[in-house]
Amino acid sequence: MDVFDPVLGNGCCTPGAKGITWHPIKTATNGQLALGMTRWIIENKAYNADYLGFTNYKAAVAGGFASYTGATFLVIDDESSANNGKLMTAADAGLTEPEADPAAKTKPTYYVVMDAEKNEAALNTDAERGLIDFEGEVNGIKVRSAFLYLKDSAFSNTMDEYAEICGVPRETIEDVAREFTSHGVKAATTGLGSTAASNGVSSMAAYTFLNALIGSNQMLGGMVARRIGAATTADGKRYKLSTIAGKPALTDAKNCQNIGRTKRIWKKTDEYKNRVAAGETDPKPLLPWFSHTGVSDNQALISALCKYPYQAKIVMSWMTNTLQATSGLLRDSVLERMKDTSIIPLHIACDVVIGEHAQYADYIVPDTNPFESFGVVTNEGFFKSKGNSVRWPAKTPETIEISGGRHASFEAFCCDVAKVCDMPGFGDNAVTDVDGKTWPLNDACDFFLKAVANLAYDAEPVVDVASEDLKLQALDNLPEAWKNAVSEEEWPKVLNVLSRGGRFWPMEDCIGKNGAIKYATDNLTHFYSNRKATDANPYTGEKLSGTLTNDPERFADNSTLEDHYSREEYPFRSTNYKPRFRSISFLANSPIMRDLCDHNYLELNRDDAKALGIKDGDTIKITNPSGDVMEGEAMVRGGIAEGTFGVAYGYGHRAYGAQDVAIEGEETRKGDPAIGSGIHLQTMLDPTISEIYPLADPEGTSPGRSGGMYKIEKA
Amino acid sequence: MESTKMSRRIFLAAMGAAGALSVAGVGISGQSHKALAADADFAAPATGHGQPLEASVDPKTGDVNINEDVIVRYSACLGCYSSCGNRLKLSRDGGTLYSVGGNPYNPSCANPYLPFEAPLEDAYRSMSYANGYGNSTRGTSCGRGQATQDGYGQPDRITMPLKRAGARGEGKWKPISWDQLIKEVTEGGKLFADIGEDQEIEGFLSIHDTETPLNPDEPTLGPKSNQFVLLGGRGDGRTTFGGRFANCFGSVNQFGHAST
Repeated sequence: MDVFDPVLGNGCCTPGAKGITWHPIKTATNGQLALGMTRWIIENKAYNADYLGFTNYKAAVAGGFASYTGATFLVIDDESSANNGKLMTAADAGLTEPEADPAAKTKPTYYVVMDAEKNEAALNTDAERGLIDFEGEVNGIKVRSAFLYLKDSAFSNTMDEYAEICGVPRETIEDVAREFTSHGVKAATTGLGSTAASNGVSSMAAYTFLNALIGSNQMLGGMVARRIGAATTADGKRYKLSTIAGKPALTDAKNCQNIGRTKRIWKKTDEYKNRVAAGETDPKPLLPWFSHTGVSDNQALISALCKYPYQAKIVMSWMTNTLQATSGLLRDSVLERMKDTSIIPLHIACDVVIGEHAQYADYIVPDTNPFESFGVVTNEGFFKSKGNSVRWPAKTPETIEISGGRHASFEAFCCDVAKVCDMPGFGDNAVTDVDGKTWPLNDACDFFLKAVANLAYDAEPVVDVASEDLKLQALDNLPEAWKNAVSEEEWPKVLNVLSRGGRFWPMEDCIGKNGAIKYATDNLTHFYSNRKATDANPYTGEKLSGTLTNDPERFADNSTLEDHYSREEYPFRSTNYKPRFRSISFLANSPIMRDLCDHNYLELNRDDAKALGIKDGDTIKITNPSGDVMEGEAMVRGGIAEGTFGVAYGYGHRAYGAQDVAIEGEETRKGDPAIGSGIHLQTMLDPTISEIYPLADPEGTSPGRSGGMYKIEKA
Repeated sequence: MESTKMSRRIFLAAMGAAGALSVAGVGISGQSHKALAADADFAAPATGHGQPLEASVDPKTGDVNINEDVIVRYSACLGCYSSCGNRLKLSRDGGTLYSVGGNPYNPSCANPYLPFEAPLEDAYRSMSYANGYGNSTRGTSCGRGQATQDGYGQPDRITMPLKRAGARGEGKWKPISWDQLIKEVTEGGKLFADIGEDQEIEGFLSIHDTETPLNPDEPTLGPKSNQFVLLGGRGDGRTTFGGRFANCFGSVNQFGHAST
């Protein structure tokens, strides 16, 4: 197995382990590695040309695949066209779209391709195969196949340059690309989350693109669909939990804007239009806007702290610690703003402990802990079949009892606030079942047990709970309110699902037809994104690329880190990872975890340590260009790439039990410094933004937790 | 037999050979819950303290003998973001949590996993050394999952509503009733006049306006109700409730942890 990782963490994989070839790639160069592989794959025609030629899902499925790509879609490359840089539409091509189905909820999008058989332009739904390398004119407009844009991008650097950028030998990139393309559809790459680097957006695209080059998406042995579950807290088999009568008709980025400034192009904001109307030329926003990414919690908190684009009058932090989890935000200048009641006038925290967020709250709502709360979970992709875990209050909550025999919790808080505000979706007649009957929603059980009923009745309903099982888990003693939350017929089936902690279908059920996973859906990988291509950096006006590009780490105005600071002075990058003995913002309060590992380390490569005169166990100082200093114990070890330092995330708490807590009527709870031990990774601030703004991906918002610039000295 | 010097592994093996064995290695009768136990400290089973045994399984016949004072419930873990299952060993009244392990019915904990239809007795059996049945689908949870019990069991748990009794961030609080909490956060007003803060604070009622733009010059920002921001949520199965609250209030500002 080839492992590309700047820091081998947690002992999961060691360089000496059997069958492991470790490649100490430079931090934050995943996208470039993928581009290097792509170049080799295209140069050697190792991609699946048969697959890439399919122009729609139906044709691809008939051809033995379970997904298709936009490789054949034509992109307008013609400055005389008003739609230059966009994917060609039927209207551009002089073609006619089929009549819209009046019953359909969403309108299909049609693309234009060069039909491989007829050699003429056609809608992608009318052709079965298209050309992936077409360059020419359609309806008098110059166009190119989308695949060629990826090719151009991959060919913008030589293999030797990719090797240099990634710190991985050229032969290794070639070998891995060859291996990846040598097993038909039985190979896959994937990643999760935002990748936590300031060029993370390219890594995410790279994973998808590589699978698309070999046609492995949704194929067994390839990149199978994951997180497959029943419709539980949605409109399911028994209850319509997402259809809410009277819910305000607000749609993000349409008639409403999320405070995190995503999903909208800066030039399409009212602020931009107003400022232009007022005579400003080329106005710049206080904080960046991001058009093609989803919502972003770190950006939302930055917005709230800057009262931009509007003030957050009430912030509720629930079971979360965005301050600590956003590397670069847990700093004094930010905490001063958290303290300022004119910035966030009302801050309510809902949690079981006083973490960094709750420390700056006005009110703390006591919450149930995970042994006392409900949850109908979409499982992560650790298995390829279908199912949902169910969390339920296996023990009596320790929070105070409140009206209606309830215990204090987040859900009870929501229900009670909703009642005072006369909100839809809560209180009497809040939920409708599939027969049209309405049900009240006054506590967590009223909602989640209906979701469990949806799970119990999905596909074939489960049988009623066995009487022995009822007795073994004391399910006959559950609160009356639970029983009343569902129908009499549903209750014994709900109990059966609770008794198993969820419902999982057999693994064999995932096997679909022709090598595809059964849960495959109409799946399209675009090699060219209209949304990206029609956006521009809000500070420079520079157009974004429609495809995957070689992006170094960048600040908000697309300038590189090296444009502002000297790489010689700050030669190191950070590589953070989730430790075994903490979990991002939590578990530092567990004495067992602290016994196992009481603090984290600044982990260095042996050669780097030697050059710096640092020995294992020395106290060292790491500084970033913003002047943040991290001082901690050096661990000099194998498994760390040169030019980076490893640091486990989740240490260095300021609250969460590390601080004193004085509650009237009881003795002050003295803070335990052991909870705060270790180093909190501090990401540099972006010097191109006048506000407090830690380094983040200028396209994708992901925080620059890995990467950046640091210097390391012996303290 | 010098049980005090016996290693844990030898002890378990000896127990297996001797007859009935505790299930899953989590419920050694009489073993108190300790952070660290050196092999030399490992105590022979005793009664009268520590956690009770949930069941014993005859290794030859697979017969399960269940302690009726202890129940084992299967639920879902929240030790990180991986959404696995867990196995909670509790007193029959649900008041005391003894230990946390993995759920043999959940594919995130066991491979192969028990079929949904398998009776709960099979779940006990699967975690024993019972000949032909046992040790096949032993459900496990990782250290983080097990540490949740330790973390959430600490005495600094907040169980009643707290209101700030000093400057923000100062760490001074006073307990208030649930009704006062709901009244103050909904009605707003000079909520901190008692500690000398004169600021008029808008509560939920004041910003619960889903029609009037929060900024008339920039109507696409949305209505006043959009000035409620909920930070919190992930694939934990609970987040949908927060989303429902924010959306029904008239805000699109509910944020999961995805970008951190």
